[in-house]
Amino acid sequence: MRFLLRPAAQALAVVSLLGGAVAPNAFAQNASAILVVAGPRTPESLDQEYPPTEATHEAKRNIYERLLAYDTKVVDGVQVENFDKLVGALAESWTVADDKTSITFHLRSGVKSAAGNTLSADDVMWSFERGWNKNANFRWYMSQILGIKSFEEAFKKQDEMTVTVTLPKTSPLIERIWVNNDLGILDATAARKNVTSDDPYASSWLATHSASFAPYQVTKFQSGQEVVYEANPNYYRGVPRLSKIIFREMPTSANRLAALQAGAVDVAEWLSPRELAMLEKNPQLKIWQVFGNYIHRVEMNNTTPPFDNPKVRQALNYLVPREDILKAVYYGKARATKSPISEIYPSYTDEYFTYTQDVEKAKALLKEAGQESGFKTQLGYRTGDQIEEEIAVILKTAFARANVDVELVKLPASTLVEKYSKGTIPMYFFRDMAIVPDAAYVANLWLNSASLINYPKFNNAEVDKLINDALSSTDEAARDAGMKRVQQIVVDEAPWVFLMNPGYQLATRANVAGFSWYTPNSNSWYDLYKK
Amino acid sequence: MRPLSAQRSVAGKATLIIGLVLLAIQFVAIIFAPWIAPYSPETADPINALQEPSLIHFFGTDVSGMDIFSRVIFATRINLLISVTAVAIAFVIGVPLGLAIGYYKGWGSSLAMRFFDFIQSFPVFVLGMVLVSVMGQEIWNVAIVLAVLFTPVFARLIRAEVLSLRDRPFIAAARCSGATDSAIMFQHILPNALTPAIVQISISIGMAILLTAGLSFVGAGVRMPTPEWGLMVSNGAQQMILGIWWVALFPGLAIVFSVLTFALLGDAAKQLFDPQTRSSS
Repeated sequence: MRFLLRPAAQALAVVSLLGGAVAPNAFAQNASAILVVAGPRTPESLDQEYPPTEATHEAKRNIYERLLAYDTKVVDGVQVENFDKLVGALAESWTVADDKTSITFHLRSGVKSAAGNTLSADDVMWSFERGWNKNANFRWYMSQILGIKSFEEAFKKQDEMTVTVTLPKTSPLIERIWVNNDLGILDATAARKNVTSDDPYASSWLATHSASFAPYQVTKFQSGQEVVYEANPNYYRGVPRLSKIIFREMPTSANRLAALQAGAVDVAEWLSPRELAMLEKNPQLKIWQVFGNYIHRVEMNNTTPPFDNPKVRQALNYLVPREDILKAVYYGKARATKSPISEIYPSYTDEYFTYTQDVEKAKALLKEAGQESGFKTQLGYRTGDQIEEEIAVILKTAFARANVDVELVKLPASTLVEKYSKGTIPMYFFRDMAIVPDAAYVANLWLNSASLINYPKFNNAEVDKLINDALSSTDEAARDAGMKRVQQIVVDEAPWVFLMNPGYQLATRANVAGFSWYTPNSNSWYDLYKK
Repeated sequence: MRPLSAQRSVAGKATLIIGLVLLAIQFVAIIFAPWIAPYSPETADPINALQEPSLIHFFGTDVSGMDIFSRVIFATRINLLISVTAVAIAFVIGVPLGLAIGYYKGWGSSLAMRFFDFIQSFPVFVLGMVLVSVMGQEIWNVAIVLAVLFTPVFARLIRAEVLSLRDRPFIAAARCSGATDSAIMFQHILPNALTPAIVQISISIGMAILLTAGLSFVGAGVRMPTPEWGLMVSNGAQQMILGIWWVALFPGLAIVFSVLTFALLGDAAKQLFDPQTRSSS
C-alpha cells in the first residue's frame, strides 16, 4: 500500500496548497475580515532600523505606532494626511518650547501592545536608546535633522508617562519629525525578552517579529513568500476591521494582475500603468490613485564632463518628450515633475520650470557648451523595471535628435546603486520620495552638497546656505522664500533630467474600501476594510 | 510505385531545397534589411506605441512605438551573425583540437577531455548566463560565450571519429609510407572524420539561435533597444496578459522560422554526407 500512499499524500498536499492559494484559512475566519494582498516582495526585515525600502515602509506603517501623526482629510475620495495639522498618536499631547529647542511628550494612558503590555515612558526611552545605539535610521534623523549630539543630554524620562527631547539648537522640524515612519515606539517589555548578551537590542528577533502598540502584529514571517499580519485586539484607536492580512510575494506584476482578476487576492500592489489602465474597465475591480511625493528623474553626475556643464544638462531637459512619455508609458497616471520638491509639499512651485520639448533650443545649448557634434554616454536602469526601460528607449531616441548617443545599461538594482554611489555611471534613473513633508528636508536630502544621497554631486553654495538656514530657522515666511529660491536655482542648473511624478496606485477588488495614502507610499491595513 | 530508397532520396532533396529557400529568405533579410524595413528598428515613436498589425505597421508596434516588422527584419542580422559566428569559431577551434586529442593519446588528451567534461557538466543555459554576466552584455561577447559552449561538441565529435580511424589499415599504410603526423591527420583522417562535424554545424546554429534568444529573454543577452528576437519576445511576453499578442508573436515566429531552417539543412546535410544514411537510401 505504501506505493499508493505516497502519491496520495502528494496529491493531497497539492490540493491543500491550491486551496490555500485561493481561500487561505477562509473556513476558519470570517472572509470579510481577511485581506489577501499580492506584492512584489516581502519586507527585507521588520526592524525599523533596517534601511528603508518600499516593502519595509509598509511593514513599519502597520506594525509600529509613532508618537505623533498628521490629521487626515479626504481628497478625491482618498484619505490623505493633512500636513497642516498634527495630532497625538501614542503621545496624547505634547508641548514645545517657544524657541523650538525641546519637546515634551505626554503619553496616552491605557495603551496596550499586541502582547498586552501597557505603554510607558520606559518603552519610549528604550526605543530611543536602541535607535541611537543601532546607529541607523533613528540616529540619522536625530543627529542630521535635529542636530542631537549626545543621547544623555537629549533624551530624558520625566516620569512614567512623560519624556522630553532637548535639541542643542532650534529646529523647525522638532514636531513634524515624530510622525516619521522610521520612528516607531517599541513594546520594550516584549522586545527585551529576546535580548541576548550578543544582541542587546533584540535585533535578530525584531528582524522577523513585531513588538509594538500598532494596529497589527506579524504572526508569520516567511521571507520571500508570505507575511501574516493579525490585528492587535488592544489597539488604542479601536480593534481593526480586518482581523488578518495575508501578504503574498508575487514578483511578477502579470501574476499579481492575474491573481486579482481571478479573485485569488483582494489587493494587488505595484501594477504597471498599462495594467492598471486595463483593469479600470473591469467593474469587479477598483483602482485607487493619488499624486503623491515620488519624483522619478534621470540623475547626471554633475562633476564629470560633459555633465559638469549646466548647459548640457539643460539641453537634455529640453529634449525630453514628456507628453509622449505620459501617454505611452504612464497612460495619464503620472504628472510631469517641475521642481525638485514634491508637488504636494509646502513651498512647492513650478513657476521656474521652462523645459518643454524644444530640440532647436537643446542644440543651441549644446553648441554653447562646445558639444555641437554631440557625445556618447550611458544611461543605467534597473533590471526588471519595465517603466524605466520604456522611458529609457524613448529618451535614447529623443536625445539622439541632438546627437547625444545614449547606451542603455540594464543592471541589477544593487549594481546600479553601487555604480551611482561611486559616480561610475554618468546617467541613471532614480526614483525616490522624501517622507517628511518639508521643502528644506527634501532639498537637504537630495541637493545639499553634504548629503550622502546627493548622488549627482550637485554643488551650489547658495543652495547649501539656503537649506542650512531653513533647517535651523523657525521663521516660516523666510523658509518658504528660501525654498522657492532653491527651486529656482536647481531648476535652472538642472542637476537632473526632470521626468515624472508617477503617483501611487493600488488595485483592489471592488468590495475593498478605505484606501488611504501616507508619505512613505505604503498601505495602511487599519484604514482598509471589506464591504 | 517508387522504391523506399528513392522516396527517401526525393524527400531528402525536398528537405534540402526547402531549407535552402528558407535560408535564402533570411539572407535577403540580412542583406537588404535597410531597404525592406519601413522604419528604423531602434527609433522610439511613443505616440504610436502598441499599434495593432496594420498596413502601416505590418506586425504592429511595441511599447515604445518601435515598428516590430522592421525590428524582426533587422534582428535576423543580429541573431544569425551571433549564431553563425559562434558556431564558426567553435568549428575552427573544436575540429583541430578534436583531431589532435584523438590522434595523440596521453595526459594532454585526458586533460582536454576532462576540461570538456567540466564545461559540459554545467547546464548550457546557466553557464551561458554566467559567462555573459562576467564578460558583459555585448553582441560579440554573446558570440564568444556560445563558441565556448559549442567548441567541446565539435572536438568530441571529431575525436570520436579519429579514435575509430587512427588504427585503420589505410592509416598504418600511410604511416609506413613515411607520412608525417600532420599529413596523416589532415590528409588522411580529417577528410574521413569531418562528416559528423559538418552535420553538426547546422544543428549547432539552430541551437545557437535558441540560446541567443533565450539569453536575451532572461536579460542576459544583448541590450535594449538592439533588435534581437529573444529580447523582443521578452518585452512582448509581459504584455500578453493584457491581450497585446503581437509584440511577442512575430519575433517568436521568426525564431521558429530560423531554427526550422537550420534543422532542415542539418537533416539534408546528414542525408548528403552520412554514409549510413546514403547507403540506406
